Amino acid sequence: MVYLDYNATSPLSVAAQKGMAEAMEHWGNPSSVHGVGRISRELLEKYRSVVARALGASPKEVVFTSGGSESNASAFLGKALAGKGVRLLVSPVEHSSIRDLLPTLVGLGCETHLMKLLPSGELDEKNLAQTLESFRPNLVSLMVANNETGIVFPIVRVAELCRTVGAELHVDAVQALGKLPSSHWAAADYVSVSAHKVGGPKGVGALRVAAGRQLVPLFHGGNHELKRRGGTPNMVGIAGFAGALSDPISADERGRMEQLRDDLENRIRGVEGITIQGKEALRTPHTSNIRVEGVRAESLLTALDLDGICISTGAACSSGATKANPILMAMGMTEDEARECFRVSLGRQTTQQEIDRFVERTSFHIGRIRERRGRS
Amino acid sequence: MWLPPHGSRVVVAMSGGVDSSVTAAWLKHEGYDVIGVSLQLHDASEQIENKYGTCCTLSDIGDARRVAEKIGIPFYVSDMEVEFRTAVIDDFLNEYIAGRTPNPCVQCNEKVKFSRLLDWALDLGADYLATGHYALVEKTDRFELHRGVYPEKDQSYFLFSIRQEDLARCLFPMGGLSKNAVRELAREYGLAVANKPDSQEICFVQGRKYQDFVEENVPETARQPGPIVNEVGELVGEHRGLYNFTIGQRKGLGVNSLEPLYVTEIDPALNRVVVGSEAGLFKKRCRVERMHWINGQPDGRPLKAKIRYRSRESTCRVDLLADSRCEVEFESAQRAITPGQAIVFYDGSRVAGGGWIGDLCV
Repeated sequence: MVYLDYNATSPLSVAAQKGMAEAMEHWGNPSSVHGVGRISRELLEKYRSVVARALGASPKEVVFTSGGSESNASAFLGKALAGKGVRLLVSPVEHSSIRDLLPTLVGLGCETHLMKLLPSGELDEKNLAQTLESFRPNLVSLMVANNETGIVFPIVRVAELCRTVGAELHVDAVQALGKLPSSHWAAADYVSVSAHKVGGPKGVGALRVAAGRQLVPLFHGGNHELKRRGGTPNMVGIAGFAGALSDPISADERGRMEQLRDDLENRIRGVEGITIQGKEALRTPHTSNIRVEGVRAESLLTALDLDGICISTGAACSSGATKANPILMAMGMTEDEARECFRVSLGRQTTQQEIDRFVERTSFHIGRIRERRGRS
Repeated sequence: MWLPPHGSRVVVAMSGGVDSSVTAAWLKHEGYDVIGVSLQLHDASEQIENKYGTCCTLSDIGDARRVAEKIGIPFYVSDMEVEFRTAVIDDFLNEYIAGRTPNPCVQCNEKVKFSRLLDWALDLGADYLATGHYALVEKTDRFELHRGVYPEKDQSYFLFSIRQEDLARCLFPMGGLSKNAVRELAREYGLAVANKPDSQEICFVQGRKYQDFVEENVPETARQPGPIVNEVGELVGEHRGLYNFTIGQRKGLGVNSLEPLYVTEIDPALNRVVVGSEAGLFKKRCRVERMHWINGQPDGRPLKAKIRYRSRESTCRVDLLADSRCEVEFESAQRAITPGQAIVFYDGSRVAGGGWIGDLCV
C-alpha cells in the first residue's frame, strides 16, 4: 500500500494511542466535584496545555470541539444565531464546512463577501485592502494553508490589515498545524484545528479563542469549556489529540517531506502536459496538486487505487462519486480542467520507495491512457 | 456465448439490481479480475428532495456497494450526471416536445453506458465492460449481437446501436440464462438482492406519470394547448401539450365519442393531435433515420423487425437510402408505428442493426 492522502487523514500515532489508553482508564467526568472526576479534570487540563502549546496559545484560549468543521462553524454561527450582525469577508477557497455554511449565514441576516485571488492561487492583497475599506467586515476568515494546493496565505499581514478596520480574524489552520510554525496563525483571533490530520483520532478538534474575544456557544448547558461549548468533553479523543501533538513533526521531518514532494514533482513533470498548481507560491511542504492535460483525474485515481496507491481528487459527493473540485474552480479553472487535477499529500511516514512507486505507476497510466485515446 | 480468457480485467456496470449483481458475482466466480462501478446519474441530494430516482439512486448504489463487498471486488461510483442529463433527459424532453415518443433506455446505452462508461473502464486498464443485459455476443470473424436465449427477457432491442469495435469489448454473461436461473444464482452466491423486484419504468420518472415529469421540465412554450381533430380534420377537442400523447393512445383524450378513438397522428407543425378508429393505426411502411448496421449493410435477405420493445418481430423489406436512412415495408400492417421509437432488425437470432422511426409513417 502506498498512502499519499495525508490531507484527508493520517494514521493514528503511537503517542496518540498511549494518550487515549490513559483517558480510557480514567473514565470520570471532568465536571464532577468528587475524586473520580477530579482525576479526569486534571488530565483534561494537562491535555489542554499540550494543545495550547502547539497552537501558540494559552490554555484558557483553547475550546475543544468535535473537529475542524465544528470549530469553523462555531466561529461564525454562534454570533449569527445571536443576531450579532455578522459582516463576513471570506476567501473563495475555504473548506466546504465554511463555503457551504455561507447560505445559512445569509439566511440568518448576515452579509458575506468573497475575497479575490490572483491567477496563481495566491491572495490578492491589494484587493483585500480595498475590500476591507469598502465592505467593512467585522469578521474575516481565511485559511492558513489550502488543503488542495498547499498554498500558504499571509495571515500575519492579513491580521494587520484586519486590525486597521477593526475586524476580527478567523483562520482555519487544519492543514497548517504540525506542518508550519504557529507564528503563521498566532495573530488571529480564532483558530480552527483538527486532531486526525496530525496523527490524532477523528472526531476531535479545537478552536482557539484569543484572550479578550468572545465565542457565542452553539451548544448550551453546563459550564464546560468556560461556557463556550456545552457537553461533556470527549476525553479519549482529546487525550489522543494531545498525545499526537506531544510528538510533533520536527523541522527535519518537514524538510524531508518537502524534499520528497519536490522529488515527486520534478520527476512527474518529465511527463508531457503536467502543471502543478501554486508551484511558484509559498506552499506547505507536503502537498502537491497536479494537473495532467487530457487525462481525467478520476481515471488515474481509480487505476492507481487498483495498484494499491491512494491519492485524492479532493471532492466527492455522498454516493462516493468524484466531482470537479470547487476550490480549483474558484482559482479560475474550468470544470473540465479541474477534473484533470489530483492531489498528493505526504506525511512523516512517507518513504522514498512510495514516491518511486507513485511516479512509476502514474507515468505508466498516463502513457497508457493517452495512447489509447490517441488510437480511438 | 463468447467469453474472453480467464483473468481478463472486467468492469461490471452495477445498478444494484439482481441481473448486474449476479453478472459481477458470476464473473468473479469464473476467475475474472472484476471491478464494480455504479453510475451516479442524478444529484443525490436533489433526489432526496424530489423523491424521483434514476436506476442509480443512492439506495441502489448502496445495494451495489454491498454486493461488491460481499463478493470481494473493488467498487467505484462514477459521476455521469451531466452526460445523462444532456444525452438522455434533455433528449427525452425534446422528443416529446417534437411530438415523438422517445426511448431513453436506448439513448442511455448508446450515449452513456457503451460510450462514456466503456471509456471509463478502458481508461483504468480494463479489457471489457460487462452488464446484466439479456443478450449474447458471438465471435466469428467479427462480433455479433444476438438475442438472449429466453425470449421473455431478451433485451437485445436496447443494444442495437453498439459499434462493432465497442461490441468487441462488451460482455453480457446473463444472456444465456432465464430470470429464474439468475435469481437462483443470486441465492447461491448469497446476494441480498436475490428477491429485489425488477425495475419496470423509465428510471428517472419512477413512481410518477411521465407527463408530469415532462410538464415540470419543459418551458412554457412547449405546453401550448391545441386542437384535437378527427381523420377528416373536424375539431373534436382540445389538448394541453403534444407530450401528453403517443400513437395508439386511447385513454385520456378528453373526447366524447360512441366509437373508441385512438391517437393516429401527432402533428407538431400544426400543434394538433389526430384521432380515429383503431383501423387507422395499422400501417405498412415507415421511414427510419440514424440507421446503424452492426455487421455492415444487409445483403437483401428479408429481415424481421420490432417497432417497440414489446412488439413482435415481423418480416419486412428494407430499402437503403442516403444519409443513414432507410425505408421499411412490412409484409403485414403494424399497429401504431410510433415516431421516436427504435426499430430493430433481426436476421434469425442476430441483431442486424436498428434505427429511429421517423415522422413519415404510411
